[in-house]
Amino acid sequence: MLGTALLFWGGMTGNALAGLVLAMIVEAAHWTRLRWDFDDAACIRAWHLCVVAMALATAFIWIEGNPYLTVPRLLGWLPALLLPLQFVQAFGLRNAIAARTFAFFTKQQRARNQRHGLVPTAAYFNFGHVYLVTVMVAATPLGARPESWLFLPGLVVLTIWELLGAARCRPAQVVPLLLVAGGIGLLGQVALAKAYNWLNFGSLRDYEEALNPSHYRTAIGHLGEIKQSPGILWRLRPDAHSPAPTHLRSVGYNRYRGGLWSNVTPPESRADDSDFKALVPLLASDATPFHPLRGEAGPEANRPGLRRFTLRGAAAANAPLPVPGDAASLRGFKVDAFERNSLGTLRVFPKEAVIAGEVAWHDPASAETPPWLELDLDVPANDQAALRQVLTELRLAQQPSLAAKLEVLRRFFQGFQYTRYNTIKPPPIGTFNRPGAISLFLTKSRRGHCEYFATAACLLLREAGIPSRYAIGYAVSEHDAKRDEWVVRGLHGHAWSRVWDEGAGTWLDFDPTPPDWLASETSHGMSLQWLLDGVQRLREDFALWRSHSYHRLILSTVMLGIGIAGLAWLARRLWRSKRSLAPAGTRRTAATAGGGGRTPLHQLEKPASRHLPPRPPGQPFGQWLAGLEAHLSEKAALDEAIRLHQQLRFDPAPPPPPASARLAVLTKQLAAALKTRRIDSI
Amino acid sequence: MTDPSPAARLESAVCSVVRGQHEVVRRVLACMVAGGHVLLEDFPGTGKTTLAKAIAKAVSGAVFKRVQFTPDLLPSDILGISVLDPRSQEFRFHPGPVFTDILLADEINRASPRTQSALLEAMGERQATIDGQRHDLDGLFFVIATQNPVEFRGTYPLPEAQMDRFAMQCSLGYVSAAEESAILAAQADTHPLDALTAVVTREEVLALMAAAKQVRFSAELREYVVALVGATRGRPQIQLAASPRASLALMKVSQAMAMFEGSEYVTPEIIQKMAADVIAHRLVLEPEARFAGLSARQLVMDLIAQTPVPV
Repeated sequence: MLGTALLFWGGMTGNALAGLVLAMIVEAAHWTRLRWDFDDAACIRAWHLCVVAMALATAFIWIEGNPYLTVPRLLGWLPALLLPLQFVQAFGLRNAIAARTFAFFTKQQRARNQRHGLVPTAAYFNFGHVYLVTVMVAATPLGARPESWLFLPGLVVLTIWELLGAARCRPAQVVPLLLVAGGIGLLGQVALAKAYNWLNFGSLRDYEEALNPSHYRTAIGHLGEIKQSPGILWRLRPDAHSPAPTHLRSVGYNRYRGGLWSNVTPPESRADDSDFKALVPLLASDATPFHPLRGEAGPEANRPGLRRFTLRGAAAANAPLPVPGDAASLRGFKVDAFERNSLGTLRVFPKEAVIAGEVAWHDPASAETPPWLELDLDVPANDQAALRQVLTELRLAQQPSLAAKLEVLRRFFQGFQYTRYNTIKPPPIGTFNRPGAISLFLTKSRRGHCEYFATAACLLLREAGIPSRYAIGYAVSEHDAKRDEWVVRGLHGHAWSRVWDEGAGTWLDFDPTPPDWLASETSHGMSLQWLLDGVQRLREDFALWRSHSYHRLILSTVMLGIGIAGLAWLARRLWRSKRSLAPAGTRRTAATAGGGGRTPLHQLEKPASRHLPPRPPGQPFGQWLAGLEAHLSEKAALDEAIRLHQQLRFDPAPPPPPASARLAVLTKQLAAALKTRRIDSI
Repeated sequence: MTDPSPAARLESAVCSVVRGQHEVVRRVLACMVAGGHVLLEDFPGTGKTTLAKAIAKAVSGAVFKRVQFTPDLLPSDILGISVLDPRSQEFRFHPGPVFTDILLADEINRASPRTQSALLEAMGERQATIDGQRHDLDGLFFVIATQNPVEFRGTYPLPEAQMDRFAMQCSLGYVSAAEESAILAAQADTHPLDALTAVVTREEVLALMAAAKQVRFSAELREYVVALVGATRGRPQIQLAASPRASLALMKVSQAMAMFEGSEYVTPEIIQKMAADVIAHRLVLEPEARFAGLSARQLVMDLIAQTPVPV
């Protein structure tokens, strides 16, 4: 049963081999007579081994990536991690594990009580049941493979098998019940899969994860405070002679409607299924590959005069990589591919959880497609009136140059107040041509966060006839002087505008938010942030160190060596303390002192055990069998059988010859009675 | 009507007096037949003395003596004393109550340890050495001692060595309400003890003692007895564990019990039944264990449950 469950687990989690090996180990207890006399201390050691294995696995999973998925992944591996305890259970002579094994304080208390001479009141239980449940749970959507739909049918089949195997129920009652439970469970599974996806890709993760290149739901027109994670996402280290970029763009958008910025693919890119195209690597003069961002760019995208910085951080597959808007090329990242869409959004398929590489930037040409006027000048109708009013007040049209126009806008927004607490209400549903949230922001409240500023600037510029787009990403503002690097945290998440400079033929960053916004963002950091930063840095350092193939080899050799040494030590100790079990079926008898003769009545042990609780070691066989009286009408036969058994077993005088034969007859009769009794009960 | 065996006759006779205590009566009789001594520890009025008297009366030709133990009782009051005979100018030995078949030592824990110890040799070796002279005791020398568990004032707890001399310690306990009303009815006119006549002879009891030694005891069960008694040793809760004398007593008492149950051999069930009575009173628990409410009897029951039994 357990073996099948483990195979099922292996199949469900995609570790078929591991499942097979575990099933072999667990089920081997039924085939071999190898046993160990594990005592409480051995149980505790096995539990410690499990704990160490779990701690190592947790550390490993944590280093590997998404910390939110550590628990489900760990759950998925629990059957392997709890194997030592199950081994003690399956191969121990005791068939039970003390409940106090698991609690440190209980152990302490017990030791103290024993010193004071108290009887330990031990609660023992069969760990096999716990292990079975663990295996089942590990095979569930809680584990590593949430999307597998085979789980519930498998679980129902296994449960039916278990129940029928125990022969304590009527299938007609159980099967429909299980099917109903299975249906309810299926709903639960859908919910779990959704929760898993939400955890994995959803908004609960960092700002970074929420960045969807096709659309972005801003907080514009929503009430409440905006909160962002203070955790470090990226680190930048500029070249000795380059300054750090001020903005790192993650995603660009070009269409705004009612708080939602989205990406509408320009017509020339629509031919393909996806707007994203893989960057083609080129070879630099020193034969290292680099990825130019612009499709038509050649070696000049890696020319020496460009500013450069190294970027490092954890990247999920398919996540946007924040780079300056005028980035030219990327070099040295361990990735499978980079992809870029027509609005300049760069996404990455990393080989490792943590990637690091060099970004060349300050290219006069930007990688985005030139403006597509239909969208890059598009303004929502309900905000148009307010935008026009502001433009008239600002006299933007009379400004001579783009730079002057941007300066006027910048100064205009200086008079606004930056706040992360949104007070602009969403327009009521079903109302059209009501002034939108941006109109209210510009004319009434004049307070908001960067999304308001960036959106308002975008729309104002568009209304003034200057193509502009909306960009989200990070402001680079925190300098770690000790390490000479710039730190990008979740709370540096920012939004700004990209403005088309017709004269230069390129897109420029225009950040209309008053520069004091960063001060208010960073003023309330957590007091223990330095500790979290340090831990994260260690983790990233290790992940980067390990990504080197040579280091990886060393690491795996060392780990393998330690693992093999530990296993060998364990195997040696186990081999030395092994016991062989007497022939199958007499396990209980052989476990007692003395050994010795058997009588025909011993054959009744197995059928009787279906009706009776397990016999404690101190309970005489006859006394235990007497419990059958409630199940049998042949009371006299049972009494006689027990008496004959005792005579054959404990009378040193030679028994009368018919005693054994008579007992055999009685045993057969009782066994038959038990069998019919069993059928009756079903 | 002829009774099938002296054992059954003795048992039913005693049970007719001590009502509702069939199990304990059988144990006490088994202890007597096994050649051991029994310590009855119970609350006042539960029938300890009656039991002893009934046993004594049921055996014809058996001499019964009782000693009421008090703090001022002297060893010579039990063993006897040599007195100078002025006529013959010789010391003449006046045997004490210990020279008897059945001795009821009532409230034994009221006497001083010195007096209690006077019983030691008599109980252990069936002999008394008085003034350097050895006096052998009777073949049927059976001490029934009683002690009262609730009283501490003016009592001297029995020394461990003396506790070890008792083969068994049992308690009668309270009987059921129905039995108690039957006792009242039975004693309305006369005490049943007065109506009791001897049902076995002294010789028959001696024969029973010899027969009990013949009850078969398999080697495997001997190992079990040793394992059971040995389980008391090396336990942190136990200050003083059971001695080999306990193993011996357990074997003998089990044999006698098997005989009373009409069996010619001993089964593990019988050993388990007698084990607590035989072992518990010999144990001295650590004070911490005692304060924690642990009793020696409970401890022995646990040991029985934990020690693997031959099946």
